[in-house]
Amino acid sequence: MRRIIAIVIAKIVIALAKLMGYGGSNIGGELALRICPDILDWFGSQVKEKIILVTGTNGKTSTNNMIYSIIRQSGHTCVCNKLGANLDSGLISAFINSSNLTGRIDADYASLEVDEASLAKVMAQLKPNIIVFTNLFRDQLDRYSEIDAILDKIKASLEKAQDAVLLINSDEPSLVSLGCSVAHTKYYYGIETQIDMGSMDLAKDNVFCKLCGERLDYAHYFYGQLGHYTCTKCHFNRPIPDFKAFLQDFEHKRELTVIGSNGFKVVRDFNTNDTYSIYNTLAAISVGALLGNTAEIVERGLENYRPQVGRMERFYIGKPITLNLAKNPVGFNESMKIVRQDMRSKVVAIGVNDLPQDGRDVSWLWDTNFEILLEIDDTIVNYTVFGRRRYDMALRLKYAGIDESKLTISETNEDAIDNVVNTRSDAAYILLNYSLLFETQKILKGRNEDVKTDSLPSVS
Amino acid sequence: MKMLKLTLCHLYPELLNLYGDTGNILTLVKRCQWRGIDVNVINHNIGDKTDFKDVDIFFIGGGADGNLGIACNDINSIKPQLEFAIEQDRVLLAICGGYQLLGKYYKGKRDTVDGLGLLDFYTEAADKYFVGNIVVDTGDYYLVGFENHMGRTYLNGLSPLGHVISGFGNNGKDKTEGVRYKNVIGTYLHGPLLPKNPKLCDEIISIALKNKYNIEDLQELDDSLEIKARQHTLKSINNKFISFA
Repeated sequence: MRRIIAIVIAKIVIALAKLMGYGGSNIGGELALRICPDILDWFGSQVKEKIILVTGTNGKTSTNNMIYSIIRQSGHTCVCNKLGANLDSGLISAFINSSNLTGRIDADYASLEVDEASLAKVMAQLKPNIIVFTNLFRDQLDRYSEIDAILDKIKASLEKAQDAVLLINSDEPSLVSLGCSVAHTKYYYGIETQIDMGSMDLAKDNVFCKLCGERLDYAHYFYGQLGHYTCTKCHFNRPIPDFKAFLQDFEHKRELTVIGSNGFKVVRDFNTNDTYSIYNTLAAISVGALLGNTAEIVERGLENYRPQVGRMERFYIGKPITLNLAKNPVGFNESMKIVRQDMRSKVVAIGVNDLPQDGRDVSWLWDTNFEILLEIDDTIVNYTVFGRRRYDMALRLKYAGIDESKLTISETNEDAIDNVVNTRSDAAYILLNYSLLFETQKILKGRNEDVKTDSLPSVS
Repeated sequence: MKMLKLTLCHLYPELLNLYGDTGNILTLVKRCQWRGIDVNVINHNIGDKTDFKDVDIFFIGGGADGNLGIACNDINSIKPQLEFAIEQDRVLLAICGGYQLLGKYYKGKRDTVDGLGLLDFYTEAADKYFVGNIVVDTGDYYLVGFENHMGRTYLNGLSPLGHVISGFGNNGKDKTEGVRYKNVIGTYLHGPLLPKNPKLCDEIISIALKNKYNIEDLQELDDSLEIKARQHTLKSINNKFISFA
């Protein structure tokens, strides 16, 4: 009975929240969780085939949505938290959205992204069959303290799910060290072609071997701490991937080929600018293969995939405006590298909030390489900063060396967008962190002049 | 006139750089450069044979526990040079984990790690993190920052950097924050510390110039953006604090 009350109330709250324009909300699930604490367990037990969890710092939403598209393409039903609400309450909301009033769901699969710090809590109730790990970067330090602590937490939660198959990024040394320390069945995915991802700045907090403490030696380096590495002191090195990605560049496109076992081979075209989502696509293809799908179904599933809110989302308000979510140093750096490739005159707006879901500590702004924008400073007519931490961001830009006369500090999101629209330029980019995303996107949508806005999969 | 030149040494930037610590280096460098003072930044990493004799300002930041342990082994080998520099009134700015490292020991949850023992304080880990904005009165000016630490530091009678107006500070009990001995400044404030506290940054530059060139006065800079940023943060903590900017 309590379960039914929980579901009915949550359904009403979710409907109300949607009506009021709050996307990606956790509130319905939060209520249901309060009323019925074991509700996730109940939902999970109804999933007929497999439960897939996607976790890590960046790329969860895109990867998870691609997996969802592949599962749907294979003719199965699937529960998915598509908008990226990834705390336990968000997962519950996703199940409630697919359930009837008595809490019955008709789902063959569940593909759910989970916040890396919530993994332990979620796995106390859900029994995953596959866990996908994207990467672990510094993010929201006040909540997660540090990467070593997160690794310990994940390892402890994995003990409760001995049967789960782990799918791990082979190019990510901290995750591979985690893989080495547990007895689970593991598959690795990685990029074999040594392409240039435009990063010379090694993210230095993770380049020491987690097993012996020696500095890792990189034969090739992609971005963050991702690359082809070996430890010169102990036996730790990059495992040979079970799913290998190869890239070939042509004049206007980049072709991704993923090779699995038993002749499994998927080929996809990519935008040349779009290096960041290669890993997301590779992980999703690997899951597709692990679920026993043919290459054809995986390819067609990816065709149907549409990126979610704020992932290189395009608007047109007097000029093309691109909105991109970036939550941490690696995310911002990768976003700015995309901006760097655009030589049109432009406004760059940066929004930084410090609510709990963003991380209250904004010291990461100083670990982010905003100097990337200085390289194209002559094409940037105005820097707009907004959000609760707009002054910290303004200071960061001052010390990066921008001309203060080009800086606008906007008190509200509306002011920021007014400034972006009204400042004369050929294009604009808005980079922002999580809690600013939905409101900003709503304003942009309301003023959008071009109904056929398209999006590219990218940083998430 | 001869070009003024200061030498800055960033200790273990590869290991100890957890909370935007390079922002402190950037701020020191920029505020020197804006005054026409040349700055040479030396990065000292594990195993490096660095000559510290000309270093005017040392900086050591925070790091994950594992990395602190690695740094600790190496830093012991340069302890005599650091001791000498401190007695020569050189500046040493130490933040968070780097601050803890200067003391006698850090008693963690699993084991106790010996510190450098340059100063007679000690730190013990507690269960809860002290996290949030912090305001500190140094007597001369107010510091604004963000703290995020599990360690509780007890000064054993040493002088603190300042007194906590809002936040936790060294241990959440005695209202002290950081440590000040000669020109050694230890603190839990990051955010990072120096961009939003230009007076402290300029005090450090002034000390270095006095030591090296016997120059007393420092050219004023336009800090209106820094002051606005301070006002904004102070206001968000408590409306009454706005005059501390």
